[in-house]
Amino acid sequence: MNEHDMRNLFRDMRDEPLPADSLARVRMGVEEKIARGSRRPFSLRWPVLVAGLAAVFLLAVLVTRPGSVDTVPPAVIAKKEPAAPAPPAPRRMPVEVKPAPRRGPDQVKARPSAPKQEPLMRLETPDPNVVIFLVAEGAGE
Amino acid sequence: MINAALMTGIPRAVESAFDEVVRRREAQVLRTAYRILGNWADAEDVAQETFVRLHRHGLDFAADAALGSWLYRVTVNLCMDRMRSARPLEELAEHADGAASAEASVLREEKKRRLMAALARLPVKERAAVVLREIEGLDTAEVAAILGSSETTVRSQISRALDRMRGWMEER
Repeated sequence: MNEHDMRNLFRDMRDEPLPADSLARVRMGVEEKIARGSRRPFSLRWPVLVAGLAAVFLLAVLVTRPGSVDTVPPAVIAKKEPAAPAPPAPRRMPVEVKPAPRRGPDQVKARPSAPKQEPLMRLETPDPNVVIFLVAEGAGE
Repeated sequence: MINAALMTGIPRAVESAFDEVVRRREAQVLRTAYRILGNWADAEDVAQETFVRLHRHGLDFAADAALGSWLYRVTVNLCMDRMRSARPLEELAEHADGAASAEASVLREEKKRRLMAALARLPVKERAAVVLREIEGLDTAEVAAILGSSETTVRSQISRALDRMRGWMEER
């Protein structure tokens, strides 16, 4: 038998009819397996469901944990920034109220060289008793 | 070309498109599996698994040829998996012997039987190449794409396989 004969025989095999019962079994098997697969959706989905519930639980724990709301939200500070360039009234500064002791003339001379601490920015915190002032350093230091 | 209506649409349309594809392609898949595995029971299992995988994959193919190649590739891979893990070739010879005894008077059938027996002796990758190229009539490039080989490799595999088969058939 030469190669040409072999190729002819192969071509014959291609054209041979397939057993009808085999084809029927394939169709039935496919339908059955697909139906069996679609009848069990929960078995495929439950891991996703469990993971989702765990994520919700973790989120709830994080949100309700004590201390999680104590931090100052950055939005509070950010809101106050536009008003910062205007210096606040001096009377609202927490400057010591005690009168300064009398000084000698030399001490009085030295005073102008001390840095003048004028607030540039006033930041309010959620606590009404706490106000933060940003003070600029004197030039030349 | 696959009709666009078969590819898209509501689930019911998709199901009927799938049924249509099974009807049109079942012979291709079953025949290929049978020629590689050599027995109908395993071939039917492979054909079923191939279509179940197609159902899972969906019918999103650019063209009918792409669907055909995909089916060939899955069929051949499933056959190779099965060949690696199970009894392979005995049934092919048994079946071929039975078929031959039923039609022993026909010389051509006898030659076919011997050819099938020789095919069964080939390594599975060479057998798949011969089945796809010679029985299914695919061109070398398609066979190479399905088997994940180069065209040169497929050509040499087929040439070597046909030589060996001819030798085995002359032994008898």
